[in-house]
Amino acid sequence: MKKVLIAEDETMVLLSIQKQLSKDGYETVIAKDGREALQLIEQDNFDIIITDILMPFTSGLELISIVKSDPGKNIPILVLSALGQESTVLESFQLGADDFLTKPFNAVELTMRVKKLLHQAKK
Amino acid sequence: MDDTLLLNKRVLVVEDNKINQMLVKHSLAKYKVHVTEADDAKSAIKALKEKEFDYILLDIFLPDIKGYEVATIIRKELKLETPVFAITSLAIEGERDICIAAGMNGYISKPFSVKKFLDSIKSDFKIGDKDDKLIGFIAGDENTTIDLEFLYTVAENDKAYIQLMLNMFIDTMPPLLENMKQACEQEQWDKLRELAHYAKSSLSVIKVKQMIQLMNSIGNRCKTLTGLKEVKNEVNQLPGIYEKSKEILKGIPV
Repeated sequence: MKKVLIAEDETMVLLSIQKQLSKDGYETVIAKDGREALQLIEQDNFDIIITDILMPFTSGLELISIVKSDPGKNIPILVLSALGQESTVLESFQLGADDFLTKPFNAVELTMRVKKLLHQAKK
Repeated sequence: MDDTLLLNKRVLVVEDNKINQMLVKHSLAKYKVHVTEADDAKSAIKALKEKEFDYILLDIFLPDIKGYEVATIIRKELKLETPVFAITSLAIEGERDICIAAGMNGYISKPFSVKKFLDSIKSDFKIGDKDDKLIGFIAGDENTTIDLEFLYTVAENDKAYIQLMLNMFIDTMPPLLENMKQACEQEQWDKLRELAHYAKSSLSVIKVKQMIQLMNSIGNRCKTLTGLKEVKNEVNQLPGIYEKSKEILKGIPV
């Protein structure tokens, strides 16, 4: 079973992503902020990370930068952004993010993007 | 075909003929409709007393009493407003009027098909009349429009999840709006922008159109520091729309 880490500070979005991906057959682990996400990444191996950009303590951008600068880890990262954050999305790509979804997003699109990233990572 | 009107709906099928019963159940299965079957009027009334339904499909010729009479009982005695659709093999002139007079909302000729059912829901059950009930995935009216497609798609049949999300929205929005009001009064535009951004996340699950529009506008004004006089007005509109949304959300079937 593929393991997904979801980092998002807004609980309704966090639980919705968890619900959708559980239905798709993934094991999900949730983090309510960037700091918690980093701790979980230290302790565990994830197949993919889904992260919000604006989060308390450690932002999504810092998270991407830390994960992507570790040569031992090769985890695809899907960024959740919102309208009006276009420049931040660009920044996240420069830091190594693999794909992004803009809130509000379609649940099926989330499923497809996660599937695509996992498929690419396998190659 | 617009099947969102049927997705996850609870339908009571009152029909004495087993083959017709199976036809209806089978046709509705792929729309994830929860079908409850009743062979006669007596068991239909029993089911209606025990459970809530979104639609009732009612055969006009039942073994015990006529379908019209069942419809009258549903409206007058049980005092239910659940949409009732007659299923009939009759093509008698005036039949339809009798059904409507008995309190039914629509009329479907045999053999039953999902298309006929949907056509009837759309044309006979006047969408918009009951503005606090969920029609398809859209609840509310033109002033407070709530799109619940994301919620229902993610939830599938998990009612506990839907309830949890509705409660979370209802509980977390007031303190957030209060914080926005304070940030606005203290002219803390960066903070207000962050709060509007956070609210938009919640609103991406339960999409209250008019609140999203205001959050977008507030966010933009705070970012560009233009039209700040309007911001206060926009922030003040939010609690009213929230209150209406709350009432609408409390009324939707879970």
